Amino acid sequence: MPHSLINLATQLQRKEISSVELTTEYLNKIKKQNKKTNSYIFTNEEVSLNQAKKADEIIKKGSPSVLTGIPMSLKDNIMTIDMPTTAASKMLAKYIPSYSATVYTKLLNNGAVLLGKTNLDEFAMGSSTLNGYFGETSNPYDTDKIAGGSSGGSAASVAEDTSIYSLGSDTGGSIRQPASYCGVVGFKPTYGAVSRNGLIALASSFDQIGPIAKNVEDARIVFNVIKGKDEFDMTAFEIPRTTRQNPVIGIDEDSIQKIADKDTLKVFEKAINACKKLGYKTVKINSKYDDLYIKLYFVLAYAEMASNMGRYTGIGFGYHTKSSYIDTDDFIRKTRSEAFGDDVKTRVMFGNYMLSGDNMKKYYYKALKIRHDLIEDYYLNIFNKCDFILSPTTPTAAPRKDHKYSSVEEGSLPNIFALPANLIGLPSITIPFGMSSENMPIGIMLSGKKNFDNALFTVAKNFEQYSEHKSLDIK
Amino acid sequence: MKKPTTILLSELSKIEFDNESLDEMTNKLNELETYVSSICDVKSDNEIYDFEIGDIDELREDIVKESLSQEDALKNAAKSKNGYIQFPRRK
Repeated sequence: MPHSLINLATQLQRKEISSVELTTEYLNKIKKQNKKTNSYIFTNEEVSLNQAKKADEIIKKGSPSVLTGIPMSLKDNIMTIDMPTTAASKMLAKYIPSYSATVYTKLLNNGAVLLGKTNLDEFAMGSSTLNGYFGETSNPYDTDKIAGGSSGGSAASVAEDTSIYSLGSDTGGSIRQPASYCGVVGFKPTYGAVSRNGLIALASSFDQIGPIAKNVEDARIVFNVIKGKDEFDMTAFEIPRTTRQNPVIGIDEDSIQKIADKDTLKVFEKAINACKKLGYKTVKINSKYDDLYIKLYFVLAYAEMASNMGRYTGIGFGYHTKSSYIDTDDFIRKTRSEAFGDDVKTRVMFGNYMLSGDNMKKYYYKALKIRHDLIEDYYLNIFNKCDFILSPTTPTAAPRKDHKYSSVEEGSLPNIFALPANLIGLPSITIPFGMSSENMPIGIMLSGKKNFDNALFTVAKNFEQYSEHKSLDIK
Repeated sequence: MKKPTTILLSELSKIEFDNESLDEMTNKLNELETYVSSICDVKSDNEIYDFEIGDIDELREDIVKESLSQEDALKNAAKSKNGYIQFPRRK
Protein backbone atom coordinates (compact mmCIF):
# COMPACT_ATOMS: atom_id res chain seq x y z
CA MET A 1 0.00 0.00 0.00
CA PRO A 2 1.32 3.51 -0.75
CA HIS A 3 2.21 5.77 2.16
CA SER A 4 -0.64 7.85 3.49
CA LEU A 5 -0.19 11.25 5.09
CA ILE A 6 -1.58 10.22 8.47
CA ASN A 7 0.65 7.11 8.76
CA LEU A 8 3.78 9.04 7.86
CA ALA A 9 2.93 11.94 10.18
CA THR A 10 2.61 9.43 13.03
CA GLN A 11 5.98 7.83 12.16
CA LEU A 12 7.65 11.25 11.92
CA GLN A 13 6.27 12.44 15.22
CA ARG A 14 7.25 9.20 16.96
CA LYS A 15 10.72 9.80 15.44
CA GLU A 16 10.68 6.36 13.80
CA ILE A 17 11.82 8.13 10.64
CA SER A 18 13.19 11.62 9.98
CA SER A 19 11.93 14.04 7.34
CA VAL A 20 15.42 14.11 5.79
CA GLU A 21 15.34 10.29 5.40
CA LEU A 22 11.82 10.37 4.01
CA THR A 23 12.58 13.24 1.62
CA THR A 24 15.76 11.50 0.38
CA GLU A 25 13.75 8.31 -0.24
CA TYR A 26 11.19 10.27 -2.30
CA LEU A 27 13.81 12.25 -4.26
CA ASN A 28 15.45 8.94 -5.23
CA LYS A 29 12.10 7.49 -6.20
CA ILE A 30 11.39 10.52 -8.42
CA LYS A 31 14.73 10.05 -10.23
CA LYS A 32 13.76 6.48 -11.08
CA GLN A 33 10.06 6.91 -11.78
CA ASN A 34 10.23 10.22 -13.69
CA LYS A 35 11.91 8.44 -16.62
CA LYS A 36 8.69 6.42 -17.00
CA THR A 37 5.97 8.98 -16.34
CA ASN A 38 7.56 12.48 -16.47
CA SER A 39 5.33 13.65 -13.62
CA TYR A 40 7.84 16.28 -12.54
CA ILE A 41 9.17 19.24 -14.51
CA PHE A 42 11.61 20.34 -11.85
CA THR A 43 13.13 19.18 -8.56
CA ASN A 44 15.74 20.85 -6.36
CA GLU A 45 17.32 18.51 -3.80
CA GLU A 46 18.97 21.34 -1.90
CA VAL A 47 15.70 23.23 -1.36
CA SER A 48 13.81 20.04 -0.42
CA LEU A 49 16.45 18.78 2.02
CA ASN A 50 16.78 22.20 3.69
CA GLN A 51 13.02 22.24 4.24
CA ALA A 52 13.23 18.67 5.58
CA LYS A 53 15.98 19.66 8.03
CA LYS A 54 13.83 22.55 9.29
CA ALA A 55 10.90 20.14 9.67
CA ASP A 56 13.04 17.75 11.73
CA GLU A 57 13.97 20.67 14.00
CA ILE A 58 10.29 21.53 14.49
CA ILE A 59 9.52 17.88 15.32
CA LYS A 60 12.46 17.80 17.74
CA LYS A 61 11.11 20.88 19.50
CA GLY A 62 7.76 19.08 19.81
CA SER A 63 5.61 21.58 17.91
CA PRO A 64 4.77 19.93 14.58
CA SER A 65 1.55 20.08 12.59
CA VAL A 66 0.30 16.99 10.79
CA LEU A 67 1.97 18.23 7.57
CA THR A 68 5.40 18.82 9.16
CA GLY A 69 8.11 16.92 7.32
CA ILE A 70 5.73 15.37 4.77
CA PRO A 71 7.08 15.55 1.18
CA MET A 72 4.63 16.91 -1.38
CA SER A 73 4.51 18.37 -4.89
CA LEU A 74 2.89 21.40 -6.50
CA LYS A 75 1.48 21.82 -9.99
CA ASP A 76 3.85 24.07 -11.88
CA ASN A 77 1.35 26.92 -12.22
CA ILE A 78 1.55 27.57 -8.45
CA MET A 79 4.22 30.17 -7.77
CA THR A 80 7.21 29.20 -5.65
CA ILE A 81 9.94 31.68 -4.82
CA ASP A 82 12.58 28.95 -4.45
CA MET A 83 11.86 26.86 -7.55
CA PRO A 84 10.99 27.91 -11.13
CA THR A 85 7.32 28.21 -12.08
CA THR A 86 6.90 27.53 -15.79
CA ALA A 87 3.20 26.69 -16.36
CA ALA A 88 4.74 24.15 -18.78
CA SER A 89 5.22 26.96 -21.30
CA LYS A 90 8.23 28.17 -23.25
CA MET A 91 6.96 31.62 -22.26
CA LEU A 92 7.89 31.00 -18.59
CA ALA A 93 10.53 28.30 -19.05
CA LYS A 94 13.09 30.22 -16.99
CA TYR A 95 10.74 32.18 -14.74
CA ILE A 96 11.49 32.30 -11.01
CA PRO A 97 8.69 34.15 -9.20
CA SER A 98 9.31 37.13 -6.95
CA TYR A 99 6.80 35.83 -4.41
CA SER A 100 5.16 32.55 -3.45
CA ALA A 101 1.49 31.61 -3.77
CA THR A 102 -0.47 31.92 -0.53
CA VAL A 103 -1.11 28.14 -0.54
CA TYR A 104 2.63 27.41 -0.68
CA THR A 105 3.33 29.87 2.15
CA LYS A 106 0.62 28.19 4.24
CA LEU A 107 2.08 24.74 3.59
CA LEU A 108 5.60 25.93 4.48
CA ASN A 109 4.27 27.53 7.67
CA ASN A 110 3.06 24.03 8.54
CA GLY A 111 6.48 22.50 7.91
CA ALA A 112 5.71 20.92 4.51
CA VAL A 113 8.55 19.79 2.24
CA LEU A 114 8.35 20.63 -1.46
CA LEU A 115 9.82 17.84 -3.63
CA GLY A 116 9.27 19.58 -6.94
CA LYS A 117 6.94 21.06 -9.52
CA THR A 118 4.65 18.80 -11.52
CA ASN A 119 3.79 18.76 -15.18
CA LEU A 120 0.61 20.15 -16.77
CA ASP A 121 -0.85 21.16 -20.09
CA GLU A 122 0.58 24.51 -21.16
CA PHE A 123 -0.94 27.20 -18.90
CA ALA A 124 -3.36 24.47 -17.70
CA MET A 125 -5.13 24.60 -21.08
CA GLY A 126 -5.97 20.97 -21.76
CA SER A 127 -7.18 17.68 -20.35
CA SER A 128 -4.33 15.32 -21.16
CA THR A 129 -0.93 16.65 -19.98
CA LEU A 130 0.34 15.83 -23.45
CA ASN A 131 0.84 19.37 -24.75
CA GLY A 132 3.24 21.07 -22.32
CA TYR A 133 6.66 22.45 -23.26
CA PHE A 134 8.40 19.85 -21.08
CA GLY A 135 6.88 16.76 -22.67
CA GLU A 136 4.05 14.36 -21.93
CA THR A 137 3.12 12.84 -18.58
CA SER A 138 2.10 9.17 -18.72
CA ASN A 139 -0.44 7.37 -16.59
CA PRO A 140 1.43 5.31 -13.94
CA TYR A 141 -1.08 2.44 -14.42
CA ASP A 142 -0.29 2.16 -18.12
CA THR A 143 2.25 4.47 -19.71
CA ASP A 144 0.51 4.19 -23.12
CA LYS A 145 -2.46 5.99 -21.58
CA ILE A 146 -2.90 9.63 -20.61
CA ALA A 147 -2.66 10.83 -17.03
CA GLY A 148 -5.43 13.33 -17.77
CA GLY A 149 -5.13 17.00 -17.17
CA SER A 150 -4.38 19.63 -16.75
CA SER A 151 -3.08 18.56 -13.29
CA GLY A 152 -1.77 15.29 -14.79
CA GLY A 153 1.69 15.51 -13.22
CA SER A 154 0.21 16.07 -9.75
CA ALA A 155 -2.24 13.17 -10.07
CA ALA A 156 0.42 10.83 -11.49
CA SER A 157 2.92 11.78 -8.74
CA VAL A 158 0.44 10.85 -6.01
CA ALA A 159 -0.63 7.63 -7.78
CA GLU A 160 2.97 6.44 -8.27
CA ASP A 161 3.84 7.57 -4.73
CA THR A 162 6.50 10.07 -5.72
CA SER A 163 4.67 12.55 -3.48
CA ILE A 164 2.40 12.04 -0.51
CA TYR A 165 0.00 14.69 -1.76
CA SER A 166 -0.03 17.44 -4.34
CA LEU A 167 -1.88 20.65 -5.11
CA GLY A 168 -3.51 21.07 -8.50
CA SER A 169 -5.84 23.65 -10.01
CA ASP A 170 -9.32 23.01 -11.40
CA THR A 171 -10.88 25.30 -14.02
CA GLY A 172 -13.06 22.79 -15.86
CA GLY A 173 -12.27 19.48 -14.14
CA SER A 174 -8.47 19.78 -14.12
CA ILE A 175 -8.04 18.27 -10.64
CA ARG A 176 -10.84 15.70 -10.69
CA GLN A 177 -10.42 14.26 -14.21
CA PRO A 178 -6.69 13.39 -13.88
CA ALA A 179 -7.21 12.22 -10.29
CA SER A 180 -9.89 9.84 -11.57
CA TYR A 181 -7.74 8.58 -14.46
CA CYS A 182 -4.81 7.98 -12.07
CA GLY A 183 -6.83 6.39 -9.25
CA VAL A 184 -6.41 9.03 -6.54
CA VAL A 185 -8.64 11.46 -4.64
CA GLY A 186 -8.99 14.97 -6.09
CA PHE A 187 -10.94 17.83 -4.50
CA LYS A 188 -12.13 21.09 -6.07
CA PRO A 189 -13.19 23.43 -3.25
CA THR A 190 -16.05 25.93 -3.28
CA TYR A 191 -15.04 28.93 -5.42
CA GLY A 192 -13.28 31.32 -3.04
CA ALA A 193 -12.59 28.75 -0.30
CA VAL A 194 -8.88 28.73 -1.22
CA SER A 195 -6.85 31.81 -2.18
CA ARG A 196 -5.78 32.05 -5.83
CA ASN A 197 -3.00 34.51 -5.00
CA GLY A 198 0.08 33.21 -6.82
CA LEU A 199 -1.82 30.82 -9.07
CA ILE A 200 -0.99 31.61 -12.71
CA ALA A 201 -4.44 32.72 -13.83
CA LEU A 202 -6.30 30.78 -16.52
CA ALA A 203 -10.00 31.68 -16.22
CA SER A 204 -10.35 33.67 -13.04
CA SER A 205 -14.06 33.10 -12.33
CA PHE A 206 -13.54 29.32 -12.64
CA ASP A 207 -10.04 28.60 -11.21
CA GLN A 208 -9.64 26.94 -7.81
CA ILE A 209 -6.62 25.32 -6.16
CA GLY A 210 -7.26 22.01 -4.41
CA PRO A 211 -5.56 18.89 -3.02
CA ILE A 212 -4.85 15.61 -4.78
CA ALA A 213 -4.22 12.83 -2.26
CA LYS A 214 -4.21 9.09 -1.64
CA ASN A 215 -7.44 9.10 0.35
CA VAL A 216 -10.27 11.42 1.39
CA GLU A 217 -8.90 12.07 4.89
CA ASP A 218 -5.50 13.17 3.53
CA ALA A 219 -7.25 15.55 1.10
CA ARG A 220 -9.37 16.95 3.93
CA ILE A 221 -6.29 17.59 6.09
CA VAL A 222 -4.50 19.46 3.29
CA PHE A 223 -7.62 21.46 2.40
CA ASN A 224 -8.01 22.59 6.01
CA VAL A 225 -4.47 24.01 5.91
CA ILE A 226 -4.72 25.84 2.57
CA LYS A 227 -8.28 27.21 2.86
CA GLY A 228 -9.30 30.62 4.17
CA LYS A 229 -9.43 34.33 3.68
CA ASP A 230 -6.45 36.10 2.14
CA GLU A 231 -5.73 39.81 1.88
CA PHE A 232 -4.19 39.18 -1.56
CA ASP A 233 -7.32 37.58 -3.08
CA MET A 234 -10.56 39.50 -2.59
CA THR A 235 -12.62 36.46 -3.68
CA ALA A 236 -11.18 34.30 -0.89
CA PHE A 237 -13.29 33.88 2.22
CA GLU A 238 -13.63 31.66 5.28
CA ILE A 239 -16.14 28.89 4.55
CA PRO A 240 -18.42 27.93 7.44
CA ARG A 241 -18.25 24.49 9.09
CA THR A 242 -21.01 22.32 7.70
CA THR A 243 -22.47 18.92 8.48
CA ARG A 244 -25.36 17.03 6.96
CA GLN A 245 -27.16 14.27 8.83
CA ASN A 246 -28.92 11.65 6.68
CA PRO A 247 -27.86 13.19 3.38
CA VAL A 248 -30.00 12.77 0.29
CA ILE A 249 -28.06 11.86 -2.85
CA GLY A 250 -29.28 13.07 -6.25
CA ILE A 251 -28.50 10.96 -9.30
CA ASP A 252 -29.21 11.74 -12.95
CA GLU A 253 -29.17 8.11 -14.00
CA ASP A 254 -30.79 8.63 -17.41
CA SER A 255 -28.12 11.07 -18.62
CA ILE A 256 -25.31 9.02 -17.10
CA GLN A 257 -26.54 5.84 -18.85
CA LYS A 258 -26.35 7.68 -22.19
CA ILE A 259 -22.86 9.13 -21.70
CA ALA A 260 -20.78 6.63 -19.68
CA ASP A 261 -19.29 3.40 -21.05
CA LYS A 262 -19.98 -0.13 -19.75
CA ASP A 263 -17.01 -0.35 -17.36
CA THR A 264 -17.83 3.03 -15.84
CA LEU A 265 -21.52 2.13 -15.42
CA LYS A 266 -20.51 -1.10 -13.69
CA VAL A 267 -18.41 0.79 -11.15
CA PHE A 268 -21.09 3.46 -10.82
CA GLU A 269 -23.67 0.78 -10.02
CA LYS A 270 -21.52 -0.16 -7.03
CA ALA A 271 -21.56 3.47 -5.89
CA ILE A 272 -25.37 3.43 -6.04
CA ASN A 273 -25.33 0.23 -3.97
CA ALA A 274 -23.03 1.98 -1.51
CA CYS A 275 -25.78 4.59 -0.99
CA LYS A 276 -28.11 1.79 0.11
CA LYS A 277 -25.50 0.25 2.42
CA LEU A 278 -24.90 3.67 3.98
CA GLY A 279 -28.63 4.22 4.42
CA TYR A 280 -28.56 7.29 2.18
CA LYS A 281 -31.79 8.12 0.40
CA THR A 282 -31.39 8.61 -3.35
CA VAL A 283 -33.56 10.77 -5.60
CA LYS A 284 -33.76 11.17 -9.34
CA ILE A 285 -32.58 14.54 -10.60
CA ASN A 286 -32.15 16.14 -13.99
CA SER A 287 -28.62 17.57 -14.01
CA LYS A 288 -28.81 18.24 -17.74
CA TYR A 289 -25.44 16.69 -18.52
CA ASP A 290 -25.67 18.00 -22.02
CA ASP A 291 -23.13 19.90 -24.01
CA LEU A 292 -24.61 23.29 -23.05
CA TYR A 293 -22.13 23.24 -20.15
CA ILE A 294 -19.25 22.72 -22.53
CA LYS A 295 -20.46 25.49 -24.85
CA LEU A 296 -20.75 27.94 -21.95
CA TYR A 297 -17.26 26.98 -20.84
CA PHE A 298 -15.86 27.54 -24.33
CA VAL A 299 -17.33 31.04 -24.52
CA LEU A 300 -16.75 32.26 -20.96
CA ALA A 301 -13.54 30.51 -19.96
CA TYR A 302 -11.79 31.10 -23.31
CA ALA A 303 -12.70 34.81 -23.11
CA GLU A 304 -11.15 34.98 -19.63
CA MET A 305 -8.12 33.02 -20.86
CA ALA A 306 -7.56 35.47 -23.72
CA SER A 307 -7.61 38.37 -21.25
CA ASN A 308 -5.30 36.63 -18.78
CA MET A 309 -2.80 35.77 -21.51
CA GLY A 310 -2.57 39.46 -22.44
CA ARG A 311 0.11 40.00 -19.78
CA TYR A 312 2.68 37.88 -21.63
CA THR A 313 4.54 40.46 -23.69
CA GLY A 314 8.17 39.51 -23.04
CA ILE A 315 8.94 42.91 -21.55
CA GLY A 316 8.60 42.64 -17.76
CA PHE A 317 9.20 38.91 -17.48
CA GLY A 318 9.22 35.68 -19.43
CA TYR A 319 10.51 34.70 -22.85
CA HIS A 320 11.40 37.47 -25.29
CA THR A 321 12.13 37.16 -28.98
CA LYS A 322 15.69 37.14 -30.24
CA SER A 323 14.51 38.04 -33.76
CA SER A 324 14.72 41.53 -35.20
CA TYR A 325 11.62 43.69 -34.87
CA ILE A 326 10.38 47.04 -36.09
CA ASP A 327 8.41 48.39 -33.13
CA THR A 328 6.94 47.45 -29.73
CA ASP A 329 3.92 45.67 -31.23
CA ASP A 330 6.19 43.66 -33.50
CA PHE A 331 8.38 42.68 -30.54
CA ILE A 332 5.34 41.49 -28.56
CA ARG A 333 3.86 39.68 -31.59
CA LYS A 334 7.09 37.82 -32.28
CA THR A 335 7.57 36.96 -28.60
CA ARG A 336 4.04 35.53 -28.25
CA SER A 337 4.14 33.71 -31.58
CA GLU A 338 7.44 32.00 -30.73
CA ALA A 339 6.56 31.12 -27.13
CA PHE A 340 2.89 30.06 -27.09
CA GLY A 341 1.95 26.54 -28.14
CA ASP A 342 -0.85 25.80 -30.63
CA ASP A 343 -3.57 25.17 -28.03
CA VAL A 344 -2.83 28.45 -26.26
CA LYS A 345 -2.91 30.35 -29.56
CA THR A 346 -6.29 28.81 -30.50
CA ARG A 347 -7.84 29.64 -27.13
CA VAL A 348 -6.52 33.22 -27.16
CA MET A 349 -7.80 33.74 -30.71
CA PHE A 350 -11.25 32.24 -29.97
CA GLY A 351 -11.54 34.08 -26.62
CA ASN A 352 -10.80 37.39 -28.29
CA TYR A 353 -13.27 36.53 -31.07
CA MET A 354 -15.99 35.96 -28.44
CA LEU A 355 -15.24 39.39 -26.95
CA SER A 356 -15.04 41.29 -30.25
CA GLY A 357 -17.69 43.58 -31.78
CA ASP A 358 -21.19 42.12 -31.96
CA ASN A 359 -20.01 38.78 -30.57
CA MET A 360 -19.71 40.33 -27.11
CA LYS A 361 -23.51 40.62 -26.94
CA LYS A 362 -24.31 37.62 -29.12
CA TYR A 363 -22.13 35.08 -27.31
CA TYR A 364 -20.37 36.42 -24.22
CA TYR A 365 -23.26 38.28 -22.54
CA LYS A 366 -25.64 35.51 -23.55
CA ALA A 367 -23.38 32.91 -21.94
CA LEU A 368 -23.21 34.99 -18.75
CA LYS A 369 -27.02 35.03 -18.62
CA ILE A 370 -27.25 31.27 -19.15
CA ARG A 371 -24.65 30.75 -16.44
CA HIS A 372 -27.00 32.64 -14.12
CA ASP A 373 -29.92 30.41 -15.21
CA LEU A 374 -27.85 27.34 -14.54
CA ILE A 375 -26.99 28.45 -11.01
CA GLU A 376 -30.64 29.22 -10.27
CA ASP A 377 -31.69 25.90 -11.75
CA TYR A 378 -29.25 23.97 -9.54
CA TYR A 379 -30.47 25.66 -6.38
CA LEU A 380 -34.21 25.74 -7.23
CA ASN A 381 -34.59 22.36 -8.91
CA ILE A 382 -31.73 20.14 -7.76
CA PHE A 383 -30.49 21.20 -4.34
CA ASN A 384 -34.10 21.51 -3.12
CA LYS A 385 -34.37 17.74 -3.65
CA CYS A 386 -30.94 16.53 -2.59
CA ASP A 387 -27.83 17.52 -0.62
CA PHE A 388 -25.19 15.96 -2.86
CA ILE A 389 -24.99 14.93 -6.50
CA LEU A 390 -23.43 11.57 -7.39
CA SER A 391 -22.05 10.76 -10.85
CA PRO A 392 -19.07 9.06 -12.43
CA THR A 393 -16.13 11.51 -12.64
CA THR A 394 -15.51 10.78 -16.32
CA PRO A 395 -17.50 8.79 -18.90
CA THR A 396 -14.60 6.35 -19.45
CA ALA A 397 -11.30 5.31 -17.88
CA ALA A 398 -8.11 7.02 -19.19
CA PRO A 399 -7.87 6.75 -23.00
CA ARG A 400 -4.73 5.88 -24.93
CA LYS A 401 -2.36 8.74 -25.76
CA ASP A 402 -2.95 8.24 -29.49
CA HIS A 403 -6.74 8.34 -29.16
CA LYS A 404 -8.13 10.95 -31.57
CA TYR A 405 -11.44 12.69 -30.95
CA SER A 406 -13.57 13.21 -34.03
CA SER A 407 -15.09 16.56 -33.03
CA VAL A 408 -14.85 19.45 -30.58
CA GLU A 409 -17.89 18.03 -28.79
CA GLU A 410 -16.44 14.52 -28.41
CA GLY A 411 -13.11 15.93 -27.23
CA SER A 412 -14.85 17.74 -24.38
CA LEU A 413 -16.87 14.78 -23.10
CA PRO A 414 -14.25 13.66 -20.52
CA ASN A 415 -15.09 16.78 -18.49
CA ILE A 416 -18.88 16.77 -18.95
CA PHE A 417 -19.65 15.61 -15.39
CA ALA A 418 -17.03 17.89 -13.83
CA LEU A 419 -17.88 21.19 -15.53
CA PRO A 420 -21.07 22.21 -13.64
CA ALA A 421 -19.08 22.55 -10.39
CA ASN A 422 -16.80 25.10 -12.06
CA LEU A 423 -19.61 27.04 -13.72
CA ILE A 424 -21.56 27.20 -10.44
CA GLY A 425 -18.64 27.38 -7.98
CA LEU A 426 -19.54 24.15 -6.11
CA PRO A 427 -17.25 21.89 -4.06
CA SER A 428 -16.68 18.56 -5.80
CA ILE A 429 -14.58 15.50 -5.08
CA THR A 430 -13.54 12.40 -7.01
CA ILE A 431 -12.89 9.10 -5.23
CA PRO A 432 -11.26 6.09 -6.95
CA PHE A 433 -13.97 3.46 -6.77
CA GLY A 434 -13.16 0.54 -9.07
CA MET A 435 -11.20 -0.77 -12.03
CA SER A 436 -12.01 -1.09 -15.72
CA SER A 437 -11.75 -4.34 -17.71
CA GLU A 438 -8.25 -3.10 -18.74
CA ASN A 439 -7.35 -2.63 -15.08
CA MET A 440 -7.46 1.17 -15.21
CA PRO A 441 -8.93 3.22 -12.35
CA ILE A 442 -12.49 4.56 -12.48
CA GLY A 443 -13.65 7.30 -10.14
CA ILE A 444 -16.98 8.51 -8.81
CA MET A 445 -17.72 12.16 -8.12
CA LEU A 446 -19.74 13.84 -5.38
CA SER A 447 -20.64 17.53 -5.56
CA GLY A 448 -22.34 19.63 -2.90
CA LYS A 449 -23.83 23.06 -2.36
CA LYS A 450 -21.52 26.04 -2.13
CA ASN A 451 -19.75 26.12 1.29
CA PHE A 452 -20.62 22.49 2.05
CA ASP A 453 -16.99 21.37 1.64
CA ASN A 454 -16.73 19.84 5.13
CA ALA A 455 -19.98 17.94 4.83
CA LEU A 456 -18.88 16.72 1.40
CA PHE A 457 -15.66 15.28 2.88
CA THR A 458 -17.68 13.36 5.51
CA VAL A 459 -19.98 11.83 2.90
CA ALA A 460 -17.07 11.07 0.54
CA LYS A 461 -15.22 9.28 3.35
CA ASN A 462 -18.27 7.11 3.95
CA PHE A 463 -18.41 6.15 0.26
CA GLU A 464 -14.67 5.46 0.22
CA GLN A 465 -15.01 2.42 2.49
CA TYR A 466 -16.92 0.62 -0.30
CA SER A 467 -14.29 1.36 -2.95
CA GLU A 468 -12.87 -1.59 -4.89
CA HIS A 469 -9.99 0.45 -6.30
CA LYS A 470 -6.56 -1.22 -6.49
CA SER A 471 -3.66 1.12 -5.63
CA LEU A 472 -0.32 0.85 -7.37
CA ASP A 473 2.62 -0.44 -5.37
CA ILE A 474 5.75 1.02 -6.97
CA LYS A 475 8.90 0.37 -4.96
CA MET B 1 -16.01 33.57 -40.46
CA LYS B 2 -13.48 34.27 -43.19
CA LYS B 3 -9.73 34.67 -43.38
CA PRO B 4 -9.72 38.52 -43.14
CA THR B 5 -11.42 38.23 -39.71
CA THR B 6 -8.72 35.78 -38.59
CA ILE B 7 -6.10 38.30 -39.70
CA LEU B 8 -7.80 41.04 -37.65
CA LEU B 9 -8.00 38.71 -34.65
CA SER B 10 -4.34 37.80 -34.95
CA GLU B 11 -3.51 41.54 -34.84
CA LEU B 12 -5.71 41.96 -31.78
CA SER B 13 -4.22 38.87 -30.08
CA LYS B 14 -0.68 39.89 -31.05
CA ILE B 15 0.04 36.46 -32.50
CA GLU B 16 1.30 36.09 -36.06
CA PHE B 17 0.59 33.19 -38.42
CA ASP B 18 1.94 32.25 -41.80
CA ASN B 19 -0.53 31.88 -44.65
CA GLU B 20 -1.08 28.15 -44.18
CA SER B 21 -1.55 28.50 -40.40
CA LEU B 22 -4.07 31.30 -41.00
CA ASP B 23 -6.20 28.91 -43.04
CA GLU B 24 -5.94 26.25 -40.34
CA MET B 25 -6.83 28.76 -37.63
CA THR B 26 -9.82 30.02 -39.65
CA ASN B 27 -11.09 26.43 -39.86
CA LYS B 28 -10.58 25.86 -36.13
CA LEU B 29 -12.37 29.08 -35.20
CA ASN B 30 -15.23 28.24 -37.53
CA GLU B 31 -15.57 24.79 -35.99
CA LEU B 32 -15.63 26.30 -32.48
CA GLU B 33 -18.11 29.03 -33.42
CA THR B 34 -20.43 26.52 -35.10
CA TYR B 35 -20.26 24.40 -31.96
CA VAL B 36 -21.14 27.19 -29.50
CA SER B 37 -23.63 28.99 -31.76
CA SER B 38 -26.66 27.10 -30.41
CA ILE B 39 -26.40 29.04 -27.13
CA CYS B 40 -28.00 31.91 -29.06
CA ASP B 41 -31.22 29.84 -29.24
CA VAL B 42 -31.39 29.26 -25.49
CA LYS B 43 -34.11 31.39 -23.93
CA SER B 44 -32.86 33.42 -20.99
CA ASP B 45 -34.57 36.33 -19.25
CA ASN B 46 -32.00 36.46 -16.50
CA GLU B 47 -29.62 39.26 -15.73
CA ILE B 48 -25.96 38.87 -16.64
CA TYR B 49 -24.31 36.84 -13.94
CA ASP B 50 -21.94 38.81 -11.80
CA PHE B 51 -19.84 36.38 -9.79
CA GLU B 52 -20.44 36.64 -6.08
CA ILE B 53 -17.39 37.34 -3.99
CA GLY B 54 -16.96 36.87 -0.28
CA ASP B 55 -17.06 39.70 2.29
CA ILE B 56 -17.07 42.51 -0.26
CA ASP B 57 -18.28 45.00 2.39
CA GLU B 58 -15.22 44.38 4.45
CA LEU B 59 -12.60 46.44 2.66
CA ARG B 60 -9.13 46.35 4.14
CA GLU B 61 -7.58 49.52 5.47
CA ASP B 62 -5.20 51.30 3.16
CA ILE B 63 -2.00 50.81 5.11
CA VAL B 64 1.36 51.25 3.45
CA LYS B 65 3.37 48.07 3.81
CA GLU B 66 6.69 46.82 2.57
CA SER B 67 6.23 45.37 -0.89
CA LEU B 68 8.47 43.69 -3.43
CA SER B 69 11.93 45.19 -3.63
CA GLN B 70 12.87 46.91 -6.88
CA GLU B 71 15.48 44.21 -7.40
CA ASP B 72 12.90 41.40 -7.05
CA ALA B 73 10.41 43.18 -9.30
CA LEU B 74 13.03 43.51 -12.03
CA LYS B 75 14.69 40.13 -11.76
CA ASN B 76 12.70 38.54 -14.59
CA ALA B 77 12.80 41.53 -16.95
CA ALA B 78 14.61 41.08 -20.25
CA LYS B 79 16.72 44.14 -19.44
CA SER B 80 16.73 46.80 -16.72
CA LYS B 81 18.61 50.02 -16.07
CA ASN B 82 18.59 52.45 -13.11
CA GLY B 83 15.72 50.55 -11.50
CA TYR B 84 13.52 50.60 -14.59
CA ILE B 85 12.55 47.90 -17.08
CA GLN B 86 14.53 48.64 -20.21
CA PHE B 87 12.75 47.84 -23.41
CA PRO B 88 14.93 45.57 -25.53
CA ARG B 89 16.77 47.73 -28.07
CA ARG B 90 15.47 47.73 -31.62
CA LYS B 91 17.68 45.64 -33.90
